[in-house]
Formats: sequence, structure tokens, C-alpha cells
Amino acid sequence: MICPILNSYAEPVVRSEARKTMAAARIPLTRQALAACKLCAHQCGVNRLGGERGRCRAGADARVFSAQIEVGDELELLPTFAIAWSGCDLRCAFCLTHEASWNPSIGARLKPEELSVRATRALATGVRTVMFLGGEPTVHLLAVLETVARLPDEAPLVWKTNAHASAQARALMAGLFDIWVADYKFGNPDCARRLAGIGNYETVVRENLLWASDHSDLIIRHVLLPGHVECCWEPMAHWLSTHLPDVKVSLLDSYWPTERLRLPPELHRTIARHEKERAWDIARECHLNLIECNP
Amino acid sequence: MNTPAHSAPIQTADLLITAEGKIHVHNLTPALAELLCELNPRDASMKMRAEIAGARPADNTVETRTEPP
Repeated sequence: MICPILNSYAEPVVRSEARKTMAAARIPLTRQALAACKLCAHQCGVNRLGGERGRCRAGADARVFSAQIEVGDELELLPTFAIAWSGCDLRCAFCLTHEASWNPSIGARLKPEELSVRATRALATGVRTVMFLGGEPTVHLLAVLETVARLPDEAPLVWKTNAHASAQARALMAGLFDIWVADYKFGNPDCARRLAGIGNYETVVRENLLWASDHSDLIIRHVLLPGHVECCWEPMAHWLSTHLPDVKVSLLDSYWPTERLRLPPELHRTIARHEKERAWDIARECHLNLIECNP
Repeated sequence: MNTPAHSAPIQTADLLITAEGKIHVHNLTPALAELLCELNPRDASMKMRAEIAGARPADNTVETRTEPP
């Protein structure tokens, strides 16, 4: 498959005011939201400021398990300064980074001031974007906004997400990120329930993808899972061709089985060649705008 | 640059090398992209990533992989 280096991404998000100002103005609202947290679609409503924990197990403090320059993501974003916050609201059975992603107490309490200094220095050395990821960054939207409020307005910011945010979280991040890189993991309710324990996955993820498409440049990422081409990728591809026909799609065959989790039987191997070829065929049949190949 | 006591000035990436010799990578750093490109110069995707990595001046001082407390 052709894997072009794209020379430019979409025009920056048009903002009515400086991004720093917008982010700073939303910090008090976001802190207040933690008192009855409904930032993700689980809508736990727990008081994270008061020590309660919801499904993500995160408190009010945010920890960073990685902050470094990386070149493993979609080519048009690279190099990127990737800031990974620990803690996630999902428990996908195959999560490669589950040790840090599921444990919000892993990593260092890096202050927004420090992160923004490092990111700004990285940009000065030729890094193209600053990427916010996790775990799931939505869980730590307060720390994210505190960091964004200190970054240069012109810095291209990437929001790398599981697309399981609530409407409240989306409103708090509207206009701040130039590009969303959103996972679309499961193409039917049964697989979402069995592999991640999510009951309303399709409704939530589609709502997030449509919103992101309206508010920023969007790359939808799907990691092919062994045994899930027909049940997950195929319906997903058809939905994308109907509802987001021009959106950039990053189809990855890079899944590998981590030995540190008890995996469902079909996930004990990497994707087979015939599955990969079938997945590309489906993408071509659906005329998807594929942008990526694997690192 | 001073790094705080709770973080280490190293970069890390996760690798899986399978029996047939295929290498899977997560959190690909510039240095690792350049190394993998040397191992297999015919890998077009890795070559592009190594070129992107090599196009910016080296400045390891901004790159920090944090460690668990």
C-alpha cells in the first residue's frame, strides 16, 4: 500500500480568541466538573476532588508516564512530542500499555509549566506537533487544559483519544485541538461488550467521531484484530463510507498479543496475511481515504 | 536542562521480536527508527520515519521518559 508523506494537514482550527485564553477560561469549569465527574461516557458522577474514584480510578491529580519525541504515529503528525497521561476509562482486553494506561498512579506528577516548556523546546527543534494521549487524556482534561493554556497559540495540537468522551468533555475541549486521532475499535456491540465491557460503544464512538469531524481535522484509527475483520472492520468501514466518506482512515495491522494479559483465544496471535489483505479489500470497496501504513 | 528527581533522562520504546524475525514497535523514538532502518533499509515506512527523525536537530534534553514512583 502506498504510504505517502503528507506535506500539510488541514488548516488550523479557526478560533474566535487565542487558544491560551480559551483554555485558561475553561480550567475552573473543568476543575468544578471533577466534583461530579462525567467527563467520559460512563458518566460515573463521582467526586474526584473528594477522593472518590470512578471506573477510570483516577483522582484529581494527573500523572505522566511518558513525555518524549516519537515518530511512530501517522506520518503527517511527525515528529511529535507525545505526552501520555496514565489512567483510562476503558479496559480493552488487548491493551498493550495497560500497566500504565489502567493505573492512574503510575508515572510522574509533571507540572503543566514543565510539560509546556518541554513541548515548546521540542517544537523549536523541529517537532511538528504536540500530542495529548494516555491512557485516555479525557480523564485528565484539567491537566491538559492547564498545559494547553501555556503552549504557543500556533502550536499544532493533536488529541489522541479512545473517542469515549461525554458531551460535557467535548464542549470543554472545543476549538483547542487542530487534529483528533480517534480510535474506532469495535464494529459491533457484542465485540465491544466482550472485549472492553462497554454497553453503548457504537452510539458513543460515532457521536464523538461526527463531532470531531465538525470541529477539527480528524484521523480515525483502527488496529486490525485477529479474527475481527468481518465482525468489526467490515461494518465499521461501511459506516464510515456512508457517514464520514472523506475522513482520513489509518488502518493498522500492528496488533501484537501482550503476554501480560489473559487474552481471549482469538487474540493470541498477530493478524494473518489473508486477514490483512481482506481488510484492505474492504477499505477499497468502501472507497475509504486510507492514509497510513504501519511503522 | 535539569530533570526532576522522579523522572529519568532516557527514552524508551516497547519491542516484540517474533520467531520469524518480524519486529513490532510501540512508542517509536527517533533513535530506534534510525536503528531499525539500518537493520532493514528495504522497509519503506521505517525509512520515512527515520528520515523524519533525522531531519530535526538532535536535542535529547527535551525527551524524558518518566518512571513509576
